[in-house]
Amino acid sequence: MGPRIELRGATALVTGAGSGIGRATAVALARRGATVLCVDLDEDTAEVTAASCRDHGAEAEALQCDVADRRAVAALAERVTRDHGPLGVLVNNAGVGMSGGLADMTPEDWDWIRSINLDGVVYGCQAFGPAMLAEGRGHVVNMSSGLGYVMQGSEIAYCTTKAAVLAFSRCLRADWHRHGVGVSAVCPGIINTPILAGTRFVGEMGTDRAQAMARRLFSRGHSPDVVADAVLRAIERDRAVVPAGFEAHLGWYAGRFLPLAVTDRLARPLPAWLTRSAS
Amino acid sequence: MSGRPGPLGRVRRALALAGVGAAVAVAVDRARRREGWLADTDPLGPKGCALPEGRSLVVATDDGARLAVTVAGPEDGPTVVLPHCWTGSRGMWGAVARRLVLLGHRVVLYDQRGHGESTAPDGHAPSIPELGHDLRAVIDATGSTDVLLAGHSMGGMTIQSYALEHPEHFRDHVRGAVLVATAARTLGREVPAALVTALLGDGRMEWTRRGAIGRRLAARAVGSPRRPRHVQLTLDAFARTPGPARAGYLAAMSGMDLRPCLRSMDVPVIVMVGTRDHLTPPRAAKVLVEQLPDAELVLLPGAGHMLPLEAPDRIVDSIRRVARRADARRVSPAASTASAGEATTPTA
Repeated sequence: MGPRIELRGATALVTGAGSGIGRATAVALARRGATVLCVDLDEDTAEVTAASCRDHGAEAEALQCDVADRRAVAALAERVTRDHGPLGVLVNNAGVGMSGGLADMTPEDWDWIRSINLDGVVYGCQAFGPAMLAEGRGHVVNMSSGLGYVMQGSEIAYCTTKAAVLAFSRCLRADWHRHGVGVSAVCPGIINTPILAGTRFVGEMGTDRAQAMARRLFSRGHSPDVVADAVLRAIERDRAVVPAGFEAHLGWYAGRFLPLAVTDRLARPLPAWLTRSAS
Repeated sequence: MSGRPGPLGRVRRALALAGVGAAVAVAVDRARRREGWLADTDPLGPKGCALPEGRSLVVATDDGARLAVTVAGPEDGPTVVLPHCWTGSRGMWGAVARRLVLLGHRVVLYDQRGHGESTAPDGHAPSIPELGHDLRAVIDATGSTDVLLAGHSMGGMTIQSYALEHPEHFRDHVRGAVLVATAARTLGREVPAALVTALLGDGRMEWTRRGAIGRRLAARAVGSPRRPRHVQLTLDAFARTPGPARAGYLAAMSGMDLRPCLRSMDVPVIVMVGTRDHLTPPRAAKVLVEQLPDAELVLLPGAGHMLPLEAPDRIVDSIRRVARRADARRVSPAASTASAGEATTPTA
């Protein structure tokens, strides 16, 4: 299918644009000639991303917003629509991580990750969607994850929110198809971003050893530019789901063909003899 | 099977050859595409290492060195001074400087003596203290106050040497520092000057510039993803630096120990290091963080040694965060460390 929006000259908004995948995506959109609105909870880092976009020859602006705050997102949408008109591209990227089992999580932990990873995406679509639908063109990219379809017992909260984002995106895509607005879910694998810095580790995953392992794993990850590329591909080819990175592709296709008995077993923690040698 | 292949065997052989050929073609195509992708997604952007527009001046030091300086950005903006790395030049900081100017900073860039367009007096022996004196001279000559310093590699040593040689001046003029991929001590003992000169002096230009060894060494300075352009920039800068400066400063760095200065650097500091930095590895950064009174470590997963090329945005993040912390400290000097900790969004 052809693209729903021409990137050159479009207005694109990226949440979580102050670091990692969000920053790489904002810069990639700038490279394609879009006007980029960089949104982050931390305005300082959003400003740096905007400066980087301008250095790449695009127009850019930094905006502060907490995506988990429905009113703040609505106010942002009002301001953006007033200043720039309806968005051409919306990238709901802001997200956090949580590692550990359900028994070790407090109710606040759950509210925290759900409100950012899932509610943030829903609020973004609700606030910016109507103007895009009225315009009859545009594209929404929601950041899911490889862990949105590869289940892991130790990442229960993260997997659940990202699987929900995947389901939400696919339903929304089916719904908004007739209005001319494309919706995609991008599912990154292991990407070396600062996400671990904003990750809550609880219970068994809170030990220094488990965190050191996670750090080592992430330092071997793909560059965030790989995901930025996937976002561009999702928009330019109007794709429903785009895995980013080898392991995300592997998980996506393996999930289709492996029997449930196998994926069920794979979701369990690694056997001790495998993890011991890694420390 | 043996002997002459029959007609069927020939077909099979041809098919196998075609298969291998196709595999090679696919591999070459992928490699070429990856190279294009690496160039396309270069964080330096289309302007590469170009300096921001600004005025140039030459600062003459007491001992006769002439330092080429560029001052860019609004005159009333918060000043950032950026000393570059060994065998580098102002250009190494180009991408960072342009972003800082876009964010309203006044940026002071200079070539360290013996590097780029700066000259050292005849017959002088390169040493680390003189780099500190030069930084002071640049700060004075440009009338900079409330300075934020960011030094990469040898530039980070320049900052430490400045703090060691001119502690009062440092206290009065500097409000924060970012130490990028640097160390207080490398080998900890002098390597014979004759050896470094033989390896890095002008006599060995060609193999270091064109040969596989020079390329391999430059490639080791860059982390993952290894962008050919960053390797080339590193190698070009190395080849442009005169042999005596290359050899002299490497020998000087091998013998130095700047750890005594760290306690007196009582300003907010961020120490940045890539996990794949082989030249100033993360453990060197940890020493800095442990000894500095108010320092924070920023680990860049996968990155190598050439952070101003590999991660210019992350460096700008750190400079602005140090400025934030310095402001917080000014408001409540007693609770400096605590308030800095609160304002902090965690970094790995």
